[in-house]
Amino acid sequence: MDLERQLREALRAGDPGPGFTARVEARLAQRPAMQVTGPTPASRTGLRAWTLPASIAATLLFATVTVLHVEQRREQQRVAAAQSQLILALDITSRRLEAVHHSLETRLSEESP
Amino acid sequence: MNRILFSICLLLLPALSSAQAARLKLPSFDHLTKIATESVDISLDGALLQTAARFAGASAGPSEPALGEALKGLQGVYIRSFKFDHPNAYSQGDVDSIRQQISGSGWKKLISVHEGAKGEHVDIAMRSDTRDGGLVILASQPQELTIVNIVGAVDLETLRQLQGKLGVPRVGPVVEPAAQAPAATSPPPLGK
Repeated sequence: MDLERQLREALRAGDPGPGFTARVEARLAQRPAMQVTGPTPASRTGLRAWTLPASIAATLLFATVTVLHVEQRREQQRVAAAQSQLILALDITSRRLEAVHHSLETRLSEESP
Repeated sequence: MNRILFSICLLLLPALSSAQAARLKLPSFDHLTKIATESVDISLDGALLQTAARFAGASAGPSEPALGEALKGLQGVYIRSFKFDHPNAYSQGDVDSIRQQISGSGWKKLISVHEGAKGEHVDIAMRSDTRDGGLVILASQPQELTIVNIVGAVDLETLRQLQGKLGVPRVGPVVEPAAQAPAATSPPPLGK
């Protein structure tokens, strides 16, 4: 009961007296700036500022890798096609030379007694 | 500095002109491609040929070092080959345009085989300057025309023996069965 009486005493509205406003303003001026925790609008803007370049960089990297891969495959196909052509060319050449060789061989065998 | 560059260009000029001379001016033969039942048109040179030759040499394996060396010397490979379903599909002018080029200076005709009865003619010519080399095979039959032009150092015997190597199938000589007869003596190797 005594505690209740003390609380009522303490919370009773009373006149703060003259110069109250000036004292409050003076105390506020002496306190350091309030520390704000958590994401501020400024840091959120910074995050957004990084997202766009990062996305563009990732897209460019992906595109470059894809183009290089396609180019490499195309080059491999070109070399494989060239190799097939070379083998065909050598086949034709070899057959022609073999035919001439055989023709000469036959003539020599016919001419020899 | 300019003088040095000019001197280098002068030194390289003969080699370049020799390589150019070893390459024939092959006509497009579009009119033959249209009527041929089979046609082959191969033009390989430069870095692509070098790469293809390197891979082909590698596929031959270390057991064929001469083959790998032979392929390294290639600077250009140009083939035009046509097969027709009827004789006389190409004109003598088509053949003569090639024959004229190899009858000029710088070319040495090695072998000419003419079998009039069958209408087969084969001419083999090489560049007389063997440093850069060059080979032409002009083979004409009633239903077939083949022109082989190889630029670079080539060895005929190595080329002849290519069948069965590099994935080139061994099919035997291209001759009529009646013409095949047992050889009593072997002719000297080609181009030796």
